[in-house]
Amino acid sequence: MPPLNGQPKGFWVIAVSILLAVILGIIPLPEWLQVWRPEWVSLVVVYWVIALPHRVGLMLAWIVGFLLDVLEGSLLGLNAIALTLIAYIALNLYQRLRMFTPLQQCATILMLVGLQQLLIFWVHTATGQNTPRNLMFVGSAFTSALVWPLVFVLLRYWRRSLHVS
Amino acid sequence: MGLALLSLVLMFADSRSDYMARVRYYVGFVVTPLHYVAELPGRGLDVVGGLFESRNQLQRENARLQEQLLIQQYQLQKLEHLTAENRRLNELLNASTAVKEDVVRVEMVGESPDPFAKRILIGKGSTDGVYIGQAVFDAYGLMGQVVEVAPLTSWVLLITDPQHATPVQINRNGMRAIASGTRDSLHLLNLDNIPNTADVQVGDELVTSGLGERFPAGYKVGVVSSVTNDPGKPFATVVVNPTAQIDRSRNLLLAFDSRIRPVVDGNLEHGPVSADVSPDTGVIVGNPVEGPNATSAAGEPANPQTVPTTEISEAAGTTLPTTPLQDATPQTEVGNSDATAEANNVDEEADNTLVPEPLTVPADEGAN
Repeated sequence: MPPLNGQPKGFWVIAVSILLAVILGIIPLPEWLQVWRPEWVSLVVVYWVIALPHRVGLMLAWIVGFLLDVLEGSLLGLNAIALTLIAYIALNLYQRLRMFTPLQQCATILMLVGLQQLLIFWVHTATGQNTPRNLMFVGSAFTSALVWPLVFVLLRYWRRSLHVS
Repeated sequence: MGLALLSLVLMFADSRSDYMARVRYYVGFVVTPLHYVAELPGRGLDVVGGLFESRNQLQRENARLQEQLLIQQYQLQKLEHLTAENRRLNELLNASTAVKEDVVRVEMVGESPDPFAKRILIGKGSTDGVYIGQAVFDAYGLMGQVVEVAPLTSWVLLITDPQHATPVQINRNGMRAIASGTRDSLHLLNLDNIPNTADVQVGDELVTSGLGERFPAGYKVGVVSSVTNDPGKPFATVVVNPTAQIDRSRNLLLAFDSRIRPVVDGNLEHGPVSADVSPDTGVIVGNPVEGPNATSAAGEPANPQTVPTTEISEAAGTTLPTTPLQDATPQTEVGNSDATAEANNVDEEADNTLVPEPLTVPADEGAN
């Protein structure tokens, strides 16, 4: 990947959006809502990968995932590999994703976040941590797909009005 | 590809060794302030709510708190008497390990965003002297233990997490058991490997047994809520409701155990335990919780736990092992139920029974 500071303009926009997503991701929620918390960080990372594939890539996804691991106290490297995985898929699909209708994009996000949750679920099971007995762990994939259009429109508006490219 | 490999190596290193704790510690120093930021909206709502609390409400709350204080002070008097009596009895038995515990109030700042991880984040870290393995209580009972320490915050593994096992004993008959967390999002505990014929009844109170050297003895853990004897299964299914308000408490207490810190006051008058204590001398002899429980059962709905108010000198007769050698005796003596339970929780127990370990942890943290 080219270094991020190759084009310093607008780097802080990406950083701030990811920071906001991270904060949204750790805001305390009632227990019944937690399962449905959208994966804000994944959505934002996927957005930047689609929008600026030449700037935002696997390295950034990995670093964000690593920080997330420390922040959440989860197994070190778990969020890192999960985020890298979906960033990798998004990087391969970005030209098609841009052409998709909103509904198709949502379906793709459902798959991506579902895959991410599945990977995390596997590792949790393998390391003997608490895992749900049912399919609740993909709950966040559905809400992520639902809020994706909102995230997409907001970030696109932000990116365009600040001329980040 | 390289990134994936790096992640795998990291995950392996993190789950198999403590080596990554350093990395976490320093990266955590940078990122943990985010938890405080994330907490701000909720805190703001609390503040705004407080502004509109009516005078009437406050007066009622004040009256209720004063009543509670009165009851608890009364119970404390009783407790002091019992503690003294207990110490005398233990001296007679020559089996005393009088331990003075300090508790420090700590606030919860966050919880794990993973809805299935039963972990919470507390607002004190290594700069406040928090160490790994430290017991965390709320006003009603045992909450969990510290598993990860950052400079300003620490992660607490709750007792209801399936990776956690708590050495407990039944208050009524002194039977020892292991209470482990359950694999779902409910906050319940299971008693492991309890024979179908064991004397466990619904409503039995469980307190920490102090075995395992991790938790101080005699604090409330839970109440047995159901006992199922299925003839098709080798052991009874015993479900325990934790007394701590695990999913509600915000104000918690960190127990600083003086056994692993230098004792400043003259509390060591009883000296170390003599090595010839027979393991079953005082299984239920010293139980500071027993007294207040008995009195509160009579009527008041108030919280019977008097623990948080002051430091409590706890004369634990519960065969607190001081040497690894001695530690082996109570466990083999327990009988088949606990022996198998021990085998099941090898990780937990192996971690706990290492006596020198708690000694090294704070020293290590202090050096940094």
